[in-house]
Amino acid sequence: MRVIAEIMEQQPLSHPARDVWWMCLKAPSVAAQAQPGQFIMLKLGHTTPHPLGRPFSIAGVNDEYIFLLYKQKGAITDLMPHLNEGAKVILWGPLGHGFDLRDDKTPLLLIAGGAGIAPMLFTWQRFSNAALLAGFADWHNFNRLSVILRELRRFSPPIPAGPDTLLTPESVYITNLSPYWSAGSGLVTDPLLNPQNSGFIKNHNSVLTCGPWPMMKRVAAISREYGISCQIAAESPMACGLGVCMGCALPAAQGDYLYLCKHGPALQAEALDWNRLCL
Amino acid sequence: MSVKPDLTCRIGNLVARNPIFAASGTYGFGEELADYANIGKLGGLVTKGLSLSPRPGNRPPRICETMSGMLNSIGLANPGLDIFIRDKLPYLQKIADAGCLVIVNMYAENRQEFVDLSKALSAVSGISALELNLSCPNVSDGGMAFGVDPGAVFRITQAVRENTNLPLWVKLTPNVTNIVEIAQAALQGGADAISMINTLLATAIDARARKFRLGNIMGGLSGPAIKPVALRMVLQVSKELDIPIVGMGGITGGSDIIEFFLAGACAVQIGSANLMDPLAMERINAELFDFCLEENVSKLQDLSGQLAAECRLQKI
Ligand SMILES: Cc1cc2nc3c(=O)[nH]c(=O)nc-3n(C[C@H](O)[C@H](O)[C@H](O)COP(=O)(O)OP(=O)(O)OC[C@H]3O[C@@H](n4cnc5c(N)ncnc54)[C@H](O)[C@@H]3O)c2cc1C
Ligand SMILES: Cc1cc2nc3c(=O)[nH]c(=O)nc-3n(C[C@H](O)[C@H](O)[C@H](O)COP(=O)(O)O)c2cc1C
Ligand code: FES
Repeated sequence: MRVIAEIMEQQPLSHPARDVWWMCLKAPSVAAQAQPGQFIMLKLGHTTPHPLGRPFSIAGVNDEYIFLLYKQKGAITDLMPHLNEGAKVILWGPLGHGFDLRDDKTPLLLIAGGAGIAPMLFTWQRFSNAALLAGFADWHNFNRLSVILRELRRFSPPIPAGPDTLLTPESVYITNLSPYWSAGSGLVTDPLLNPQNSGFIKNHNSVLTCGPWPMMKRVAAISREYGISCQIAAESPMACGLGVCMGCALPAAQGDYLYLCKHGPALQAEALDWNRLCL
Repeated sequence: MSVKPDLTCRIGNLVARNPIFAASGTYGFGEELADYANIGKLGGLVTKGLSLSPRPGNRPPRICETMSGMLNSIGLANPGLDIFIRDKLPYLQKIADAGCLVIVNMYAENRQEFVDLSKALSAVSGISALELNLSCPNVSDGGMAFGVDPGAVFRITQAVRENTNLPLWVKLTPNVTNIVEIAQAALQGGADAISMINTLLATAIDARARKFRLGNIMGGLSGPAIKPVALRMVLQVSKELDIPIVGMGGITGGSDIIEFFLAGACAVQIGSANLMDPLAMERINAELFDFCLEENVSKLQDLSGQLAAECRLQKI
């Protein structure tokens, strides 16, 4: 579906940087079909010096609305915070393959880095027994995050923090590298390396992860050690999002390439040839 | 009172219900966009460049945006002839039955491959014309694009001409000094029409990372940024030669089509705009129709070459 969607609301999530935003758009036909891990292409208008659409994960849906979580990174994401309520954008989706979420894949352990939390939030919204572990390099405004979590699932879980955190079900865990963060800091993968959490980790049938490549690589390696299947939500430059331009190629494990907008963005970690990825 | 504008157009012996064709590489094999766009409304569709054997394509990253345009170094990734005929052709035959002209864009590394491809494609139904992509590197001759050498253009066009009864469009690369000379070679080789232009050779650099933005370092520039170059080249060829021109390069709106017609085109292809919005061609079609209504253009074809003719008269 290619639609004109209306912006209902935007709020900054990061503090003090205010460079991560939560956006709600009205797009009934997209919301009705969206699956966790899928994405949309968004474009601000026909005539712009930046003619290509931009891919964003669907971060959640509610009735006729879809949510996006984006980080300002350049031309278009710097313009987006200036869009007011009621502004219209061009949007097409839902696109690509979402996560494989069949029964034997659950319970899910979701591991997110930075804006990679977007597809994880949607998955968390759909699966009440999924555990979410998220790491942020430079932002914290977790009051807002709990509001969003409540909005998504009408339930606001406790948010314990820090690298030595003992993971338990029904919580959303935050780790942080921010100097503003006092409750302990560290990488999102630190709690996974804490032996006291191994029982918790083993209770899961798959790990889903989205974030920077080095983080996903580490998460994939840890999952492999535990013998738990790992799916990643990957990124690659895109033009069409529809499988026509052949631009979004990533090296495939069986040789040649896979096309992220069609075969992904959610992939089994083993589907990629990590050695040929230019990380 | 204004009459409903007539948008039908004629490219040699082919008649299309409107002048809007999807450009090669920006509409796949049609089926990919079936859920999105109303392909039934297109004048025609030019397929992704097809080669005899499957091609994996270039090292990523393969695309990046540039100011008012984009670079691609896809490397002509495509499934190859056999899979095309088995999996892609049936859908194309369906849209051909519904009145959309289907043109197959051919990629090859030497003359024999072009001949083999055109023979095979002439033996199946549903294809209205073949488009020779002469931007391909001539692998048996140092890898320079066929399209920069008038001799090579003549020989390949002639070889394909002798092996097919389908109308033959020859697609020119703009990366040459004298475009008229190349177009002339295609005409002499037996081309029924010229498609122009392909992408402009370019690169992009990430200043912070101090790296090239494309894995292949160089790629092809397309989109609004190249429209003035494309218009200039269409004008140059149409001034000098009597051959139908299918114009393209940076078209994103209805009035762009009028500009290409005035410069000498008799049909157009829309490329990057399809990637920028899957409904681009429907919008452009509607804009073209409205433009013709507003400006009292009753028959679009009448505009073709008007400014080229003026240039000829004034000996410009
Ligand atoms: C499937 C998919 C889902 C995504 N989901 C989200 C999301 O939910 N939230 C979010 O904040 N971001 C997401 N992204 C990344 C987002 O698309 C880019 O940050 C955005 O396109 C940048 O646009 P810009 O105009 O602001 O930046 P530009 O000015 O275009 O570029 C700024 C910098 O970002 C890099 N960049 C541009 N596009 C991409 C891209 N597609 N992938 C990686 N780097 C890129 C450029 O190379 C450049 O260094 C996703 C990307 C993909 C492929
Ligand atoms: C992603 C992409 C892939 C392309 N692939 C082909 C191709 O396979 N064969 C070909 O002849 N031209 C190919 N082209 C060139 C276009 O058909 C067209 O000539 C060019 O992009 C200029 O038109 P535009 O500015 O409207 O895009 C490709 C262009 C793009 C952007
Ligand atoms: S983005 Fe165009 S094929 Fe994937």
